Amino acid sequence: MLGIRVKFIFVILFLVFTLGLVLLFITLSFGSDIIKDYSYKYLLSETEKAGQIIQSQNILVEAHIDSLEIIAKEEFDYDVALQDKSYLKNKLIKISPFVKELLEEVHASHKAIISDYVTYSVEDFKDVYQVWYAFDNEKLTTPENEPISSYTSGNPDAQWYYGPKESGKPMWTEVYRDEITGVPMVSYVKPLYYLDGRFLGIVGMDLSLEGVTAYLESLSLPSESYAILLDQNNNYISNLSEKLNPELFKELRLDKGIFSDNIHTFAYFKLQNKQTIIIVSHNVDLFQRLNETTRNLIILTCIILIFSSFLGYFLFNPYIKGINQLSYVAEQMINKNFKARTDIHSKDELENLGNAFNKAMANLEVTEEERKQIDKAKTEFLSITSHELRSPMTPMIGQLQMILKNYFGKINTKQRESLEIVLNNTERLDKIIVDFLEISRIEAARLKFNFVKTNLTKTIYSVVKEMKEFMPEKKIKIDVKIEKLPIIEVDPDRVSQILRNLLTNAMKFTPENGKIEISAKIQNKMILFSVKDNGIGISEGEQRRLFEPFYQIDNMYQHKSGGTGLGLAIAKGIVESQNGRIWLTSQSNKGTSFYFTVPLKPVKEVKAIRLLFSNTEQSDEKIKELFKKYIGPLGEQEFETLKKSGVITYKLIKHYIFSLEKKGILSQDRTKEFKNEIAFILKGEKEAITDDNISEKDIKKFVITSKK
Amino acid sequence: MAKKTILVVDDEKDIRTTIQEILEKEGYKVITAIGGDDCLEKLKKLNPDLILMDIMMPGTPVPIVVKRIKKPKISYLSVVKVSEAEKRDLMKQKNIVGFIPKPFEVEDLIEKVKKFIGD
Repeated sequence: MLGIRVKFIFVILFLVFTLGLVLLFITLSFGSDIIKDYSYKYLLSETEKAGQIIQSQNILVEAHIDSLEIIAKEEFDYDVALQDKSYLKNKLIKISPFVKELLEEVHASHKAIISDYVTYSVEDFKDVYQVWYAFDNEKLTTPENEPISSYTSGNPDAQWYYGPKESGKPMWTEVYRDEITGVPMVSYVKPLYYLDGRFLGIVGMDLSLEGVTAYLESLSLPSESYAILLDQNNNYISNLSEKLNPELFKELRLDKGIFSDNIHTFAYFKLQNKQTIIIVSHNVDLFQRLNETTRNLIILTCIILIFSSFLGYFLFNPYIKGINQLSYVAEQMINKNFKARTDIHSKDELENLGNAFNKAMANLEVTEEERKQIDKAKTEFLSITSHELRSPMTPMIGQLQMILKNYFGKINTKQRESLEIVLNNTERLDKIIVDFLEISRIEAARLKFNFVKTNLTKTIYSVVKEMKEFMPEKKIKIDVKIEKLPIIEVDPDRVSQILRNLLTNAMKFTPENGKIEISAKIQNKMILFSVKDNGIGISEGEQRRLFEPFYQIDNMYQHKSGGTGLGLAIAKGIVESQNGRIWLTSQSNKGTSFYFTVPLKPVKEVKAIRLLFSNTEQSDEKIKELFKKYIGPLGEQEFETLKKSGVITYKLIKHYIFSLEKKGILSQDRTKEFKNEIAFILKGEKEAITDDNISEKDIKKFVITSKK
Repeated sequence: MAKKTILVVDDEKDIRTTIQEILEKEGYKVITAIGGDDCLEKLKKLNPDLILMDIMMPGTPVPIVVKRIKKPKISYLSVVKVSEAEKRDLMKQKNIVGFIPKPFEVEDLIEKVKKFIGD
């Protein structure tokens, strides 16, 4: 048997396994997306953060250039301007202190107002750039003495001049390399105007990109990832060493986003000045993190599942234990071991159940004790009664016999006759006492059997030999026809007792020179004995009452043999307490056959058999026999079913019998006979006639006929 | 020839009297005891040829008493059936020679006693 504990463990493992699979499935299918998402979000946010910082620097640059804007009131004479400090000042409005210094320098140097170096530090990076003005005047030259106009006019490289001049708007230039230092640079330039709107010149700031590059390199990113900055034409501002295909970045439409190819994942953020910061990371790297994270998730899931299953097991263990205990105690109950108890403390219905079991067992224990006591008392009572009833017989019979043997002097004939009467009756009384004690034992299931390995053939022949002495004057022939019987465990004394009784009866009712046949054979795990005679037979009425205690058919041989009328009752008790059966068949003037069965294997427990007159049981038995007689073997079952439906009344049975007639199971004649016989049994002869209008003639069939 | 001695052990006086009368008529010497304990007492001084012992008597249970009697022959004399006596292991001892059921026929008793110990 697969115990409840084992089954439960299977259930838990199955649930856990299923749950685990489900979790794993979810984790793997969505988890990777979530993690990817998470990684992407992380990359994107890092990109954005870095972008914001660079952007703030750019904004600072723009703000500063804004502050350097100047507007000229009117045309000014540069020659004069070079000579006179205050001249320029009067001509220009919106001068910052810075420009003021420049102007002073111009004066000092008589050169074009170009270049000054200002160091700015923005947050955590230092950048060196220069701020310059370039005016639209032929007279002005670059420090290299090159006229600015010739430098700028028609020079496609001079986007820093033409761009803002033509667009009228400030702009960021593309990246370029400084001619002298070779450092990558980018400039922010803004157009300047006269009051009347004519173009004056350009103010600009040159930014070295070293700082930006340094900043981008300083970003803490996942290993193998790096950040790059592109200008508005997708030229590298920073990280010029790494050569990625610029085509990749052509289609960046949104302000920010993330995309992957086979090898890399790119997170980008567009700055306000149309520069783009991109963080590039390797997919392998990303996925390694992903795999690591997935693996960790799986391990975590497993740990949780294992923990859950243990938790589940321990939570339910008390219930499993409880159920096992209940099961054990129930089994002990069946085996009549009433000492077992449950020990459940789950503080719920299970505990209630356990306590109920315990109480039941305690009750059973008490009842069992009582039963044992009563049993013991019964046995003691019977043995004391037996002893007490029979003890007086010994001196009674002994003394009478002694007197009759003239032990105490010669006695006369009359004295002899008288004493013989006393002695006979004493002996008869003793026999009745013995028989009655037997009946008591049968009723109390105290019959003592002495099962020994017996050769039944010998036993039968021995009884037959004995019976030859009984009624020899009748010259009855006894035939023994028995199959080869195996040596089995039976009580030979009891078998002999029954055979003796049946033979005695047979001999009483068989005429002179009659024949009695004894047979025995094996049938259905029993030994079937039969004693057949060709005597006068027994009527049906008598047959039914035959096994009643003290019932004796009137017969002139009865008193001679001194029968007590208990023989058949005792025989029935002996047979039935071993689960055997005893019955007879008979035909008037043809003969009677008695049958009884004895089990091949002796019974372990002797049944109590009711023999003494009990109204219901006796009539129930009789009615059951009738059912069998009229309906057949199924009759017994029909009767039992009828019994279950309620109390057996004549009305009930009559109704049932008529229903059989309607179904065509019984013929009209048989129905009538069946009904009448039931009436006779349940009501008795007289009442059956008066109450049910049954004719006297019909009832007489069933009445006991005592002839002779 | 000396008379053979029989010790009759039974708690009922009438039975002792009856058996004594029958057996003395047959020429035996009969001593009686009223129970198992009395029997053992008497055996300290006597050495009977046969002991006729009832089974259901008050006092020390008969099986225990019988175990302590090694020499003289013993026959039970009881209402208890012989098969029951066998079940109770009463018949096992070597000096147990027979079983006489009660009530008995006088002739039967005499015959059995003669069989056990002779005349």
